[in-house]
Amino acid sequence: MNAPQSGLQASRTGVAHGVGARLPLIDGVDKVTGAARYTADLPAAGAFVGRILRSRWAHAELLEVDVTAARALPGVQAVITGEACDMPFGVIPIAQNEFPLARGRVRYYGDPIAAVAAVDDATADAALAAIRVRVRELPAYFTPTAARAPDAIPLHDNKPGNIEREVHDEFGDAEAGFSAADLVREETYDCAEVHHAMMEPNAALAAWDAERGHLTLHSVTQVPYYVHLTLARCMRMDPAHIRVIKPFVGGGFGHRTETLNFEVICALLARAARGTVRLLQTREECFLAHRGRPQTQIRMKLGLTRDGRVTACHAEVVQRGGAYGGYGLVTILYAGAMLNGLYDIPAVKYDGYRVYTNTPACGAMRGHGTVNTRFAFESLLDTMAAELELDPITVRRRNLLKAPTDTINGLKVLSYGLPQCLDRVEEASGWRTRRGKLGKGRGLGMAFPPSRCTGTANPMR
Amino acid sequence: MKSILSLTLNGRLREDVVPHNTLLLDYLRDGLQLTGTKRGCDGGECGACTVLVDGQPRLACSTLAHGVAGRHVETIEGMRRSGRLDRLQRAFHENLGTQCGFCTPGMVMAAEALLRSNPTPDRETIRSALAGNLCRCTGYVKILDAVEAAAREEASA
Ligand code: FES
Ligand code: FES
Repeated sequence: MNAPQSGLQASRTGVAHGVGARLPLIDGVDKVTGAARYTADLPAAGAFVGRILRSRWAHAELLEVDVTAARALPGVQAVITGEACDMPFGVIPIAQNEFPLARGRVRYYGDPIAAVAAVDDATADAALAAIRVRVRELPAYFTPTAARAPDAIPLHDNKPGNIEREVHDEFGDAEAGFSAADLVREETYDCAEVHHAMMEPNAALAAWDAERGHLTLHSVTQVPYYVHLTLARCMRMDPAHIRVIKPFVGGGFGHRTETLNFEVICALLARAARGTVRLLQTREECFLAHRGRPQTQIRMKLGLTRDGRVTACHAEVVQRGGAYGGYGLVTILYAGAMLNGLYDIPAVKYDGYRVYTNTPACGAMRGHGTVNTRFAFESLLDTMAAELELDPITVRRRNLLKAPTDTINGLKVLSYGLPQCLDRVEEASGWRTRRGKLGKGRGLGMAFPPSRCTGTANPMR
Repeated sequence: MKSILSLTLNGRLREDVVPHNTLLLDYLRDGLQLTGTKRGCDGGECGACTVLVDGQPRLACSTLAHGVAGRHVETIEGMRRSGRLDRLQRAFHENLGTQCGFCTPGMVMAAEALLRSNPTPDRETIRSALAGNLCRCTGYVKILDAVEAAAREEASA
């Protein structure tokens, strides 16, 4: 009689276990007692203080970075510039165009130019102040429109027009879908840029073992393996000689899903200083490292039959990508590919533009790429449902998928709890009885959340 | 300029030579390795550095160490009672009031200050007592649940 009957089984110790059992968080005690050590909490006695000199220009050619005076200051152990690393990095192998320290050009306000390791905070600050930088300012582009203007200077030489990536897809026949619709509407939606604002500021602790030429880096990263590979690349080291350790992480939400420049800078500083360097970042520097959800403009067009069936969708999406590649290629792809997967739509056309601008680089943030497009889709669906005098829940019910199925762009939907979810929401919210009766300024609304696969092992189109 | 700072820290008298411009947060973290108190912002915005000074919540990032000379300072490290979790710590643990945990020490200290002055707060009161403490993981609901649970435990004890 050892087959589970129902509910949870008590083990021999009398403690419930198995799927669904309430178990204490394995590291909960460490967290509630303050014993959990995050990167900035690691013992760093004897470590040098690392600091980054950042660009005060949004776009400029670097003519000279003179570190002679900084190097000469007593207590300064190392000063490095773009010369310390000539290998560009980036999470997408075909779009590696970022250097840990700028070489020849700065592309956003905050782009790292030089870094110092010194015996204490005051000396590190004095060293930064002693670095002389001469630049020739270039026109800076803060919007996709400005960056795409015919006379705009390309931020990266291989990307004329500052288009980092265009995606053009059509699955099904969108034109035919719109002709078959009883109502076609088009709206433009603007979504602001967002940062993850994880509670723990960025920090890294790099120890260089000068005797063996080995490196150990502790960092706040969510992706120690990527960091490991990137360090080996940028430092031209054998990966076997590098160790990356991720202690407790105080949130990330996507900010730390790629190697960030301060991690490489900390490692380069440790090697130059032939010792251990701790690099703590301010909150402002976290915002500059950015990798947030890009500012996005969406032109959304939908066709609906009178009874609320979606016949076609056409979305044009422009993302302000920032100064470097990062995850950009993927973000602009997801923004279109994930229009599918929630509803059964016979035709979806997508035009995506990821644009380089002189702003901190965007990246992956919760619901990578999909949130803004979904907001636009759901908003327009609601507007059109109202015009057709259809209830928002009804119109969504009319367009559900039937799992298991493949969407028109080849996404496999193996399970699909949305119908049950809709029923539950309808009931729990008191949709039928309360909607429209909550008084001025209050209401009930409904929208599907961004669809997002947690891992994309297969190529998506 | 340095001078001797004496204060009571987590119930024990301490005397240390501390520069006059050292922040309480840096004194605790770098000077004493009491790293439970966190820095989450560039000053005064997040509450992660909340400690108690004479029982009142204080932002250690915006307080000079010498400013609390002679006072009673309490940090998260002082919350355990005889090695066991305190009721608030237990409640945060059991109600999943902690996720990444970075805001947790500050939350616990702010909640502790509240429960000392008001052992049976309602949800609104808890909410306003924690209004200066940011959390990016939990969505706050479970934090409020945790403080309520701790208050209930205290009432029934
Ligand atoms: S560190 Fe954020 S308020 Fe003190
Ligand atoms: S638990 Fe992560 S910030 Fe609160």
